[in-house]
Amino acid sequence: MKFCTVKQYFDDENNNNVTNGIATTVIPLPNKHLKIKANNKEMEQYEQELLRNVMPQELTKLILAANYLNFKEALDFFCRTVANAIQNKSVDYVRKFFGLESDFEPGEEEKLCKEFAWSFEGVDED
Amino acid sequence: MSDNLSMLDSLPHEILTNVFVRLPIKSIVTCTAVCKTWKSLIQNPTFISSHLHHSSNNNNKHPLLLFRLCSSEEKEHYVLHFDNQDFNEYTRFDDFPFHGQSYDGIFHVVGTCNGLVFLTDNLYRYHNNFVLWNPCVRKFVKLPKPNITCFSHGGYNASVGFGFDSKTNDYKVVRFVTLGEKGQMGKSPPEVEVYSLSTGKWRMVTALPPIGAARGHDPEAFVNGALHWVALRKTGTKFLNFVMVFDLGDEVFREIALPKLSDQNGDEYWVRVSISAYGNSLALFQPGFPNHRLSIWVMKDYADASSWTKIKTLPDAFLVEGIPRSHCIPKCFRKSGEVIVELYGGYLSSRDLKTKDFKDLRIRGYANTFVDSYVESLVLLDKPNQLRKRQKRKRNNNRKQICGPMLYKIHRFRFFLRCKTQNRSWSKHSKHSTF
Repeated sequence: MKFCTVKQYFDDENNNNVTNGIATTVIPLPNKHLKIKANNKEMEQYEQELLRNVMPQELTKLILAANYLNFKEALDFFCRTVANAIQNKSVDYVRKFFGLESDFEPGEEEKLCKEFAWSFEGVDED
Repeated sequence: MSDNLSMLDSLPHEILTNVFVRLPIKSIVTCTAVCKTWKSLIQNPTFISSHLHHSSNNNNKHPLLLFRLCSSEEKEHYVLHFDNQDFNEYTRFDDFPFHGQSYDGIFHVVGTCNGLVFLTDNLYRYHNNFVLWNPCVRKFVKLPKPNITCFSHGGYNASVGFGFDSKTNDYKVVRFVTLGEKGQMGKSPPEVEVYSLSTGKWRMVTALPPIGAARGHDPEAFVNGALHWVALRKTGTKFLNFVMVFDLGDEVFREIALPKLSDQNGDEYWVRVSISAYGNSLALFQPGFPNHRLSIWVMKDYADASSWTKIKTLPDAFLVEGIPRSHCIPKCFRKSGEVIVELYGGYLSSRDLKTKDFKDLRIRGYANTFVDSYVESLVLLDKPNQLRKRQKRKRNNNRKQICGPMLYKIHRFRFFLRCKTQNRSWSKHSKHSTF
């Protein structure tokens, strides 16, 4: 059920979406889930360990792999990780994390900062 | 390396949505300033609905209660508490944007829905100014003047309610107005008008309501997509209370009968009850007279009038800080089914209806305390803060002059200032002409 697309992946030789490296990370996840089951703390620790060595760039590949494989639990897990990473951070930090540049007109961004000034207060330091 | 970096910015929108809905609201708002794509993704009704859905699911596990407490200086405080054993504070909304802008100092909170708080001011029972406010994103919409006001239609009693129409993904405010000029109370249907957030306008409802009178200021319950309020009908020589129901989606009326509430030959003119949401059904609060005992009825099966069950009559006193407190004013039900009551002196406590346990919530309001369940949301994030628009409406040709010069000059703030010299809030009010 969770791996309905995995068979398809192995059959599809020209697949560029998922590399072997990713497959070794994503695919063991459900087994680990079953082993740990409802023990949240252990799962958290496992998640921390897994992601300590993963850079944001790798994270993208993991997310896209989980998305392609239709693996909802892994996708939710990776999205949760990204959310935790950018939570309460400044706009510049988030831009750097995602490799994005501001494409606002000069006046537009200023207007936004003024309108939502309250949300930019008290963010964590970069 | 640069190829890898550029991949994060090309994540599909569904995945970005999956990330954003997990962020606290403050961070989501910060993300609108990252780039244009993110801004248009977030400030979008579809995303706002997705976020609300996620927030509601979280809320089922960790329900919240919104408290509006007034201090003796007529300042309003809005606080969110966890609706659990510990009842700890979750957050405060310190940025109430309308301090001192209500005629009598503080606003009347009508209700909450999907993170929106609906406020009206209160001028001798007439609500003239209505505001929809989302404290989570600090956005508000001031409604245009309704079609029926005391200047256009003369004296009236009105009940006002607020809810969400899931058919059109729209928020609606509904007023049920019983005009004084219609004659005998309880023998005619009310005038009903609806405000829709998506159109920004009031319009009269076309469906014919059942005969029933609004008694004014009574709260309404929004349950199962419909607004419920207690109306009074005169049949022969006797008055009877019943629940009038207005479905927000279909905009049609229904009725639900109430249990027998009076021993006085079936005449319920003097019976005043208030209705409340109770899970997916309704509850009724009947204050006792003259015993100050509160009766609570619950409709076990929604819309089945035969399932009204009297579950409790609360006795008087409960010790708070060693002093017996009484005069229970019910506020709302907690997720657990306990009822929050306000005791004499503004002390809020939680009462278990099965056991008889009272729990002191250690929260105290000065007066006009409002409590209701609350869900955080981004509703109104896609709209600018909106001052009231002037809405053209058909004038009633039989325009009545309200008896007495005082009401006629209501809109002239300086005159009113002279009438209310004692009220400190007016000194602030005279400097503003916001309303």
